[in-house]
Amino acid sequence: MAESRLHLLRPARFDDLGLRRALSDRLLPLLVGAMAFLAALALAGAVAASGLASRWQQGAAAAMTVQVPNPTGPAATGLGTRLDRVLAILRGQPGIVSADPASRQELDALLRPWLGDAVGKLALPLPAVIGVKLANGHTRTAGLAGRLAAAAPGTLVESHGIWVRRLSTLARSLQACAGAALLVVAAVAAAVVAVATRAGLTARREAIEIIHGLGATDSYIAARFAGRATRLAAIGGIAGAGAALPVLLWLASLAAPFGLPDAADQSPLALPTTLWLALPALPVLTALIGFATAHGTVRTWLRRLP
Amino acid sequence: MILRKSGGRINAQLACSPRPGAHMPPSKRWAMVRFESVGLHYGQAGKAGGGPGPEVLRELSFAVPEGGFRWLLGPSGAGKTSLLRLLYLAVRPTRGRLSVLGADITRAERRTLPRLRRRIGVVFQDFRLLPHLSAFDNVALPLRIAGRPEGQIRADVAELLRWVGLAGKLPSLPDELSGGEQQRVAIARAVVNRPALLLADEPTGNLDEAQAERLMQLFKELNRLGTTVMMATHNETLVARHPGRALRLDHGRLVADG
Repeated sequence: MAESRLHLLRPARFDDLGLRRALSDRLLPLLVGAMAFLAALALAGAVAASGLASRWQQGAAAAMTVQVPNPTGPAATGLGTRLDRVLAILRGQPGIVSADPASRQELDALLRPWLGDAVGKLALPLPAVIGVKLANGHTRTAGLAGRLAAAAPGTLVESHGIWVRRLSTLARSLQACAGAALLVVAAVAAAVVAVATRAGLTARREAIEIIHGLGATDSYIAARFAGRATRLAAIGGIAGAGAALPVLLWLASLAAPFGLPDAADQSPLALPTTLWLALPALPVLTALIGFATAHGTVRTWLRRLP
Repeated sequence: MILRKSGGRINAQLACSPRPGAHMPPSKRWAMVRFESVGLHYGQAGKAGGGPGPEVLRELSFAVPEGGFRWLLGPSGAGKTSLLRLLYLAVRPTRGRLSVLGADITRAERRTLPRLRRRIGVVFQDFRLLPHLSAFDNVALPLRIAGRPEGQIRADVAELLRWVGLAGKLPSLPDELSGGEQQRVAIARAVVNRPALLLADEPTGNLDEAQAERLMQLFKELNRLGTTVMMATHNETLVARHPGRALRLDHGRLVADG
């Protein structure tokens, strides 16, 4: 019996300060895990907002809609119909990749939700609707609206740029909020580790004083606490990231129809690549927070000893 | 008798390697401990104003040469424990100049103190063992803190505990040991690093006469081998049986040195 216990006298995880009891292996990982869970959600929010902003800017911002009333009427300038003239101007405009008028069937499809199946029989004087695609970086077409109106009075140019810019600003604001949430979560995690470490210091004050009296340096004592805190924080990080994963997959499946980047295939693992990289980094981050906070807290506390 | 078990490695560690200068007359040796008008007062934590508390040690001036022995005597509250706390670097003097192991403690940088502490062994009246560690681990602590190789630690600690008669108690926790056994673990921990300065604060307070006598034999042997020993006690009988130079304190002042 004595010999078997003697085998336990190994230094590998030698707990000279009794930290296995002083730093609870339940509460600290639980709290850090909750922080990691929130961090994963905030991270997902930041990634999603970033993806949407980028998608809107590259997609919708590069599009424009032109409405030409009475498209078959004669153009005010030049030859042909009003529609032909508008199309000619559009296609001759630098920065415009394509300008395609919607077909009658496409217009009917657009109106069907409001006018029902009889839309084709109503013989409404519908304007021509031209979908215009702009080249990358060409979101402004100065003077175009004026020239179109001159060729075909009443022509309307609806640029998506303004509301896309507003949406992009909104998306960037959401990104900033998510970043701020991440910082707050990291700060709370650090505070949790600091409080737990201080509780451990109080609980093990006598042992620390004994070891300090035997010649232990601040680094020696701080390393004991930091080692324990790092391990517990990493466990919390793993648990939190693991718990967040199914939630994120579920949210991604909900967001897929709205064009979450990389999620268009709607596969069961349809998370943005950034998130797949960030989730495993969370336990590393929590471990780093645990290490740095415990080290700093213990070293600060030890200054009271001579 | 503890020292009758002095064979093997312990002999090699302690008995066969007296400290340099152990055989020199005290007058020729350098001062292991030197007090020059040392005063000490503790802060009044929690009190309004936070000013210094009353001075517990006043104008202490004396020196103990390397390899010297001193009884530290005086009534309760005389300042014996405070003086020992100064010596094992648990506090720094608030006045005067203190030199321990050749280092000026008054001015020494904080980061230099751990190395000095490793050369000082302390036996406390209440043992101050870590309750969650076995006897082996308690004794091994100073060596592990000093970064000694684990193989050497295992051999030295096992041998030392065997030497103090606790060969069968290596895995025992302090709570599983008697008072005398805990005392021997505390002594083993204090001497395992072969300290240059050995301090003891009422080490016989929890021991019967026979155990106290064994302890004295051990300390005298270590002193003979060159370790400077300072021992605070109330036990006048023990002092009478082992006469030696004594520092006598009263109300924080040194009233006799001789």
